[in-house]
Amino acid sequence: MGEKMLKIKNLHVSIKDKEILKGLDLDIKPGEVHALMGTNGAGKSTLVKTLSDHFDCEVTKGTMEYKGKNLLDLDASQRANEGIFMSFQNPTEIPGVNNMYFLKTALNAKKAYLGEEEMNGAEFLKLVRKKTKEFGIDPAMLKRNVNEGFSGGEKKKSELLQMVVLEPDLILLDEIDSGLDVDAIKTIAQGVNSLLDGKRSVLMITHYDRLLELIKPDFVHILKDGKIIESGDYSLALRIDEQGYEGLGIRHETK
Amino acid sequence: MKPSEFNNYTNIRDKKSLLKLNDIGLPTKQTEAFRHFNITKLLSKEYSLDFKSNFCPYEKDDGFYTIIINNGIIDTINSDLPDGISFETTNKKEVDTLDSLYYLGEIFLEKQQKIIVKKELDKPLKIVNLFVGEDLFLPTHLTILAEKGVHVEILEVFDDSALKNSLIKINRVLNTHKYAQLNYTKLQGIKQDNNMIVNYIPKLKEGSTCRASSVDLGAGTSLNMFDLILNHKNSIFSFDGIIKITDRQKAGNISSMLHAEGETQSSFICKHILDVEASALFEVQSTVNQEAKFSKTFQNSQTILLDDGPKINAIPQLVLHTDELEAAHGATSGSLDEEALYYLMSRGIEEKMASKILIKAIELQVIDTIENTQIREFALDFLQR
Amino acid sequence: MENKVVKDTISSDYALGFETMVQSDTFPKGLNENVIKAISKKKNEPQWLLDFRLKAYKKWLTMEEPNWADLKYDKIDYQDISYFSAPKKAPNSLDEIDPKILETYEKLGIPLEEQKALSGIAVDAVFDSVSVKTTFQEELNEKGIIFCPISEAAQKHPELLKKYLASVVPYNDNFFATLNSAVFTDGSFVYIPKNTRCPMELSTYFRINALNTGQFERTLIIADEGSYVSYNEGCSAPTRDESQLHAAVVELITLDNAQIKYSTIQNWYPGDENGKGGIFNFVTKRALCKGVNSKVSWTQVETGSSLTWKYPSCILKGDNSVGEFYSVALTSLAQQADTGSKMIHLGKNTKSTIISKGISAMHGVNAYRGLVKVGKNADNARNFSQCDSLLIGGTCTANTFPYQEVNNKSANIEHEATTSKISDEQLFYIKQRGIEEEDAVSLIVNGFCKEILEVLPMEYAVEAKALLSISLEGSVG
Repeated sequence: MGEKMLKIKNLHVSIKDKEILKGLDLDIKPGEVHALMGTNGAGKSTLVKTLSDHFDCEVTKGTMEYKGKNLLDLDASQRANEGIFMSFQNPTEIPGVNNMYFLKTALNAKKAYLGEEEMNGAEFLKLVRKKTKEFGIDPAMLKRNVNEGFSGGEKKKSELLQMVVLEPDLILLDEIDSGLDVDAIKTIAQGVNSLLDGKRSVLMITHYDRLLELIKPDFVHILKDGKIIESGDYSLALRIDEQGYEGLGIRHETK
Repeated sequence: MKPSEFNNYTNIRDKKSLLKLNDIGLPTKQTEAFRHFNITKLLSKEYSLDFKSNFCPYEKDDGFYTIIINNGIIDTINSDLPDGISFETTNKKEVDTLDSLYYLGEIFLEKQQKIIVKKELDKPLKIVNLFVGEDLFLPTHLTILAEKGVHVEILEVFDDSALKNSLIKINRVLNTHKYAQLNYTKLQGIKQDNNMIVNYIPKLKEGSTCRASSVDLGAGTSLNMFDLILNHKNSIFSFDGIIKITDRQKAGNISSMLHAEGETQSSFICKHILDVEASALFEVQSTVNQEAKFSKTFQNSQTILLDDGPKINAIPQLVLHTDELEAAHGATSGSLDEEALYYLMSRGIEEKMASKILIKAIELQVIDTIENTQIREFALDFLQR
Repeated sequence: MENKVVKDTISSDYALGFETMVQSDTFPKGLNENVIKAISKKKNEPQWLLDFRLKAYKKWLTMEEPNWADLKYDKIDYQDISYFSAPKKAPNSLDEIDPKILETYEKLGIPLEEQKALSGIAVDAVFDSVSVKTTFQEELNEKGIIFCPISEAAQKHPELLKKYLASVVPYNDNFFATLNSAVFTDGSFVYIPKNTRCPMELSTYFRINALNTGQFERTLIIADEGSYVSYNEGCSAPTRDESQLHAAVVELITLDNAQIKYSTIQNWYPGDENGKGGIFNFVTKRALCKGVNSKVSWTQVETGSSLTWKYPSCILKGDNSVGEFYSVALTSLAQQADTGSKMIHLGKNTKSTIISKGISAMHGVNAYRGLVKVGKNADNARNFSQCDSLLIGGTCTANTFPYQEVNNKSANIEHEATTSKISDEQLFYIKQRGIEEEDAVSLIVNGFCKEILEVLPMEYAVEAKALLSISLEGSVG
């Protein structure tokens, strides 16, 4: 793997012919935790969606290299199997598709991709039991359909379970803390931290410092109008918390 | 002989049906243009009516009682005949329908075959149709009767491995007596060089229920026609179907559901999954008469187009003559849910597999309506093929 | 259901059922080539227009009256109709208009003279077969907007008329449109030049007055690139025992980035509760969204006519073009309506919306009939259709016949239909709050139609609400 995890150069992305990212550069090395902050509409979600090949995002310029591979050559499922995991801000409900079956299919898809032996039902069940217990997730969730009728908290826990089962290398967290209470945020942070072994990396989008206290970022970036305008360490997040974006001379985007 | 030229045929077995057929006439060009569903071509091909029924043993499934129908004739030797079931071949009883295609099958049939179910069976009943021959027009009739208060589970399947270039014309009368329940599932996966037109005539007495479900995967052209008159109180009819076709296959459901008596219910739902250049038709009309107060009727068509070639024509229709009722219909056409597809892919499931999972979820909505476990499992296996 | 209350509430007198006594110049009944030539001559038409009429007439003779709609009526005797009627004095200025006609328009609520001052709406009024007065001409002229009777357009703007007439509804389109092509008498012609926003609402009022007369108006609206116009039409007719035929054709064309909003309030005489009299309203309305990003929006409130056969449609040919159809159709007494919309998606990224509200009362028969068609090359077409029926009483009929033909996988087409009734509970609840029965019924009906009334131009929304109330109102008890 070497020293590289993710290298983004001069990235331009449009959604429905409107340019959102306008020349973004970002390097993430193995083991690093990066936090992406900025006002609404700055393009934070667009960046993680683009990294996960969301159909809305059209890359018009620039490069994204992940583990030495050109991400543009890989579709959403291939990127996932290469180890990129995006935790959705609002996970999609899929009626009629059983959660357990879905998770097993996803895990075995990754194993097949990596040329590993697929897991049988019993092994899988054992793994899932262990993980649900470890993170205090109600196993009844697995009997239901994917995200169907889940509360906001249940959806985020389901995302967490997928993450700890699939064990990704690059974790993208899109406002995973929004709408959650303190205890739930702690559970999520515990899950993310349990995966951090010095090799895995995190790119998280958040508005709140509460999550940043629990998952300490090595780097903090401020995104404005489709570009990173300032980078720093954890102290930058603290400054934003104290002074707000306006205090740092950053205004809310006007349409 | 050509079925469309039935008038030139000399050996008509059922003159009454011929009169009706002449009265109503085959679907006109105009009707077919409006449906985008042409069967005139099928009916004007040259077929032979010279087929024989050579009864032979059939490998049965222990989970079912099996009734074998060989080229349209019940094989009484090889079929199971458990206590509570009887077969009859009787003189014809007149059936009143406006579907001329029903009579087109009847004119060639002298007798009427009937299965009577007198008490509840410990296993579901499986009707296996075996077909043998080439270039045949194969008319067949079966009346299934559930006697008063009896609950009957029926699965109907078709084996056309020994049939070529033929048109199968099936008539089924689903006769449900007072407080009886007739659950009927049809699974059709015949070869594309064969075609099938089925006319269903459900007859429901007071307090009875008839639940039909159908899966159409095969045939060059397959058409199910329903003519339902709910003229007894508290009777319930429902249909749940899947049409899953590809290449240049055509399949459709045409249904007329008339509520002539109060407190009756009807529901007609079909999922269409269309690939390559397949085309499907959903033409359903519910009519609620002024007398049929407190009735409920519901229709829904859902279509997934997997390619740019397929075509769907959905015509859900309501004709309501009173205000004391519940009626609704809906129709959607499009591709698979983009967000759901993306979500599955973002977890490492490749696009093809993700599509398959979503299609299966749609199919399950239909299969889950099948009450009987054996039949449901059978249907699931059938869809996996 | 408190049947009596509802029945009383919905049976009403036709408020616009007066007849105006004017000297009129009316052709004898009957239709043949000479009649058509005479119409053409009366209007001093160019030869090509007469040829067009005669071609249509020849075609019409070979056509059959369509019977697929859900309408029952006695056979129309096309030889028992007069195909032209005009007030005898040809008006040149407002002062010359027969005072009785002016009075008629005042009764209709459109005092021509006051239009200018009060509401800033330009009005073209068609009385029987001829256009009697178009207001606001000068102000429109300044902007290069043409708003005139179609017969005048034949004289003054022949090149535009020749280019666009029958370009959306061809002369052989259907039985009634073909008849109209042969005998059309008057109607409005509108041309909005490039990048022009029409500064006022344009409006036409149609009135059938003479006995045994058919009205065959023809309207053509062209919105050139980047232009916008909002156009309204209203209709009424006197109370008569005999049915009268109205077979109109409306063609709309929008070029690139242009938009037409077309609103109709149709209040022809509906006939009596036994189905005697009333207007037979067979109308072909069609829009061609020819240019990219163009948009046509049809809004109709249909409370009149004994028969309505009408399907305002959009052919979405330009990429990103948008078609909308908002409709309220009310059938009471013995009225029958078969109405809806066709949205034909041909261009890419085209969008359409259909919202239809049908109200049936007494022995009214109300059918929604619509088609949403997505062609093979119409990538990313979107349609949402919703058809709601409100049934009032146990003797009326509500039918829904939506057709969906989809031939492109990127389409997203959705249709929903619901039915509801005015329940005893609703009536009781509203009455408990001190509101009288008839007001309670109109309250519920107005709520049911809210989405449509909201898209009407304001003055028209007020009129539409009043009309719905009148059509459902009567003496309680």
